[in-house]
Amino acid sequence: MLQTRQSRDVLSSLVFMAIGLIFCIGSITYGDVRGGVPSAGLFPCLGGMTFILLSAINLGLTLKAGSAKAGLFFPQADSPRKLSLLLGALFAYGVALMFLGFFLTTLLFMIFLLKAIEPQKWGASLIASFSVSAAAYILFEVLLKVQLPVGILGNFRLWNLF
Amino acid sequence: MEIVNHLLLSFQIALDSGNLFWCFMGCLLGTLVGVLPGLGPLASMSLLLPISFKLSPVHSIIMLAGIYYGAAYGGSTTSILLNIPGEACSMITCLDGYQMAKKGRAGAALGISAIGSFIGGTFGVILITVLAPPLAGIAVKFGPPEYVSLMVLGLTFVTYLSSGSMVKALMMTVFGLLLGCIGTDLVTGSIRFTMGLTGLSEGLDLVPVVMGLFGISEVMLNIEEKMLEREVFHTTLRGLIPNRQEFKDSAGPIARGSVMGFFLGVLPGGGAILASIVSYAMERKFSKHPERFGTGYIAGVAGPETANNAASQGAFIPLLSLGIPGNPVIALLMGALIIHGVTPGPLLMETHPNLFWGVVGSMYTGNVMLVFLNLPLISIWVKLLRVPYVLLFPVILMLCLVGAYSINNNILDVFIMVFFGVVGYLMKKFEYPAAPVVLALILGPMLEKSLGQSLMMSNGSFRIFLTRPIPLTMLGITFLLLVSPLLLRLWKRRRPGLLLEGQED
Amino acid sequence: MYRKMVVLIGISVLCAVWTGAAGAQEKYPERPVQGIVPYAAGSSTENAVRLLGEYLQKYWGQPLVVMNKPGAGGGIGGNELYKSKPDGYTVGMFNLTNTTPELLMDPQRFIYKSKDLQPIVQFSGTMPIITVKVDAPWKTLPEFIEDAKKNPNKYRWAHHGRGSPYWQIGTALFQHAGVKVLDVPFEGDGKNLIALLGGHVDISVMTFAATNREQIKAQKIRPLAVPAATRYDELPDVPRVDEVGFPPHTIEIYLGVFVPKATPKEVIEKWRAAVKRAVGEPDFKGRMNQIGFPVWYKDTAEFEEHVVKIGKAQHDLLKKFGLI
Repeated sequence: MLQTRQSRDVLSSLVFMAIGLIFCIGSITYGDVRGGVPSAGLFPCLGGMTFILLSAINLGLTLKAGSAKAGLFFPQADSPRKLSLLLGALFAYGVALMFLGFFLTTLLFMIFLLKAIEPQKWGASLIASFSVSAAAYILFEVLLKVQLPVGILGNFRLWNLF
Repeated sequence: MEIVNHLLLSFQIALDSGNLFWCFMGCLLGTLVGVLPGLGPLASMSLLLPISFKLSPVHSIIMLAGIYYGAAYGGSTTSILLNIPGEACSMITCLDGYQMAKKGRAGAALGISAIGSFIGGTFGVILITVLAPPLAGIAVKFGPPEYVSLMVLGLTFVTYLSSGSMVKALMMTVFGLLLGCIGTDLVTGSIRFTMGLTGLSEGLDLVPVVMGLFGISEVMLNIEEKMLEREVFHTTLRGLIPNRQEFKDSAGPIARGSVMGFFLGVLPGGGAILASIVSYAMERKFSKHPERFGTGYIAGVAGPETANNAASQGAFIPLLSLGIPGNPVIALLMGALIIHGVTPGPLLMETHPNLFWGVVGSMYTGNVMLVFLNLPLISIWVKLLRVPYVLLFPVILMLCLVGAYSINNNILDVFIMVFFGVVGYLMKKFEYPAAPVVLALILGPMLEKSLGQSLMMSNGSFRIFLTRPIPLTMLGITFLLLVSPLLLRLWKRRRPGLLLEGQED
Repeated sequence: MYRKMVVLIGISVLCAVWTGAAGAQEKYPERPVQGIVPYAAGSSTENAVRLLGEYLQKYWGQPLVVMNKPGAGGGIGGNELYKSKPDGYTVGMFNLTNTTPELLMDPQRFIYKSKDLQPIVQFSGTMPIITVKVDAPWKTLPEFIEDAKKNPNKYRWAHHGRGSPYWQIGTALFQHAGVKVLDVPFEGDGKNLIALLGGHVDISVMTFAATNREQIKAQKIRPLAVPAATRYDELPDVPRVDEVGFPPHTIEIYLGVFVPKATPKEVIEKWRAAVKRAVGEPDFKGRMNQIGFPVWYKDTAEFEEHVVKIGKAQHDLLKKFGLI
């Protein structure tokens, strides 16, 4: 599946055509032209139509060009698994950041990535994650004064522990 | 000789130890901010503004300005090494810079980037010293119709940004234009395509999209390979400095980038991104080896990097001569000035010569400091890359995630970045170029707004574009550029034996 | 492996909760406060907010961070405040464009109503002026109107966007005079000024803030009239609009601090006291004037009334000209 360049181009062209259609239809509600000045709907409508047209041209060109084998879509057998784990981690980071606060979320994120994608040793993972999270905290929160989410840790300061 | 007096005054003030110190602090912070993806000079300057209240006006402006152009230097670092633009304007540097790094010439790319930035920046300062008032006059001449023609010209450069199929490049341009429609229509005020998310009501923020399309997607692609066997880049010692040939190839782009970048920077709303895009497109179009672009050709790094630094300097002109900020970062600087009791305006040069020439002088010293800061750092960056990718990629991702969040303190930007990471990954797999999307995302809304304004000015008539000199000229150039490949082919057909470097179809 | 992970997570959560409980008492403000400014970065309003923030930082030790939320004529900023947590860490530095949404044009931009916002204090405002380029042929407003009558749709005027107070001023003026002048929106004072200087528009309604003052001082632009209840101190020779044949324009563009209605009373009181103190400082007025802003202070009760009054006045004006 999707091993030939042609099949990939066909699929992508169709997807883009659908996107163009969505924009086109969506823009109708925004109106067309008002008093000689283009209204909010004109640009996206024209844009959507152009998009559909171009995608159709692309589709036509690729059908004419014929099949040619392309490289493997997923280069390794475990690529889909690694990718899904990665995406899951990224998404979870976004969700967790507001609840758990920066330090904890980053810590968990790093540990997870180091263990789940291409597993490293526990010791190395923990030390690396902890030090990177701490360093990042100092860099961003303290030095650059970025306002990072605080989460359930409250205003956790390392030196409060002592 | 007015100018000599001015220059002497600038240096006298700039070389004062207090000013040197704050200039250095600003440059250091700026470099750091520029290197970290997502974190931009705007965010850090506005957070450091309260600190600057405690300093004298000259010191605080010098420091804040240092952050501003320091960021322009630092932004190319991650672009070259990781394909993640540190600043939105460094996106173009990714195209050839990252390829150069893959070929083991990361040091050379970083080096020429620093050198080009220095030349561009210094050139810019010289022009400011000499030409500030007349240049300001030009800036004012650009109204909505002029911007429309500029945007249209800019959009035609899209075709020069990608190496593959023209149709796909055009498709991606339109895709970017459609993405640009998300948000509030600037002319009528209606909110479009936001699907109820208020975070999208101002449109897609450029930085998360760029970071996603270029950076996150790159990490995703790398993850797919067996990482344990992967060393990021092999860089020999020879790879640390540009060789003779590379210097020769860069000379022209640097020269052209300086001039063109500066003038584009003077125009309010023009800016560093546009400058780097135009430089790349121009170099490619007029190069003897257009096919080398995109594979790691140093001209593709030298030109844009010089241009965006020259543009950063150019943006000071409307501020210093008219009191009008050309972009949000300069606007912040202006705010800082005003709070310190110095209102920029046409009289600034006369009422506060010390401040004016002090700032200009610190631009010279700032550029020098930055080139000496950045060059030694190159070997450090290169060493950092020896860290195994398995350990490196979580750090990279984390920096991107924090960077995305820090733009607006809005978690939505993080999700946008991840979303476009997936989009970028798919686009790479299906062989669609990403750069045109970004270009169109920038230019599209500006074009739509300026078009609306122009038509309101002309009461609905399109003749306004033909009756004014600047739009007429620009549209003429655009037309010629579009038609030239056709003309070339016609010419080729008439003279079949002639070998010409034509455009791809 | 998974068991180890669970243990690890459990330990870190325990650590977190323990130190969190041992942490310091909540004292407002404990961290930086966000001030929503419904204009793009670099607006003149921002400068006034930053100046106030400087004093607040002195009292509280925490900075007031400007959060730019431009768009939809103040709608984006207003919506943002409405949705924020009512804990006092997000306040709105708003003017009349988004505090009485249901009384203005296109109320669907806003997801809230007047009653959802709590005004705390007013500390400043914006002074609109009507200007032309200094080499323009008109020395007074009536002269321009004369010319415009003879040349409908020839001249263009700049404002800050449909529905904005500046647009209201200009539209009311030109409708009253019965002239057709093309309107062109620009985002922000800076673009407005460039348009005027570059000749892209012929007349402009802009603010009398810092940069524009410098332009007037440098004799690049000329103010023709002020749409206000009294002449401005710094422009003693510039007449009010009602002195040159137009109905008086008394809709004050105030600038005040707003929070969501549910914000705790202690927080509101803290703000009220702090701003009052800042306004009373000896150098506050001078510094505000120097950046182009007046010091117009109103305490909570008075301000609440003022907001309602101005909202109604806008509503009546818009209705009078058939705009809503």
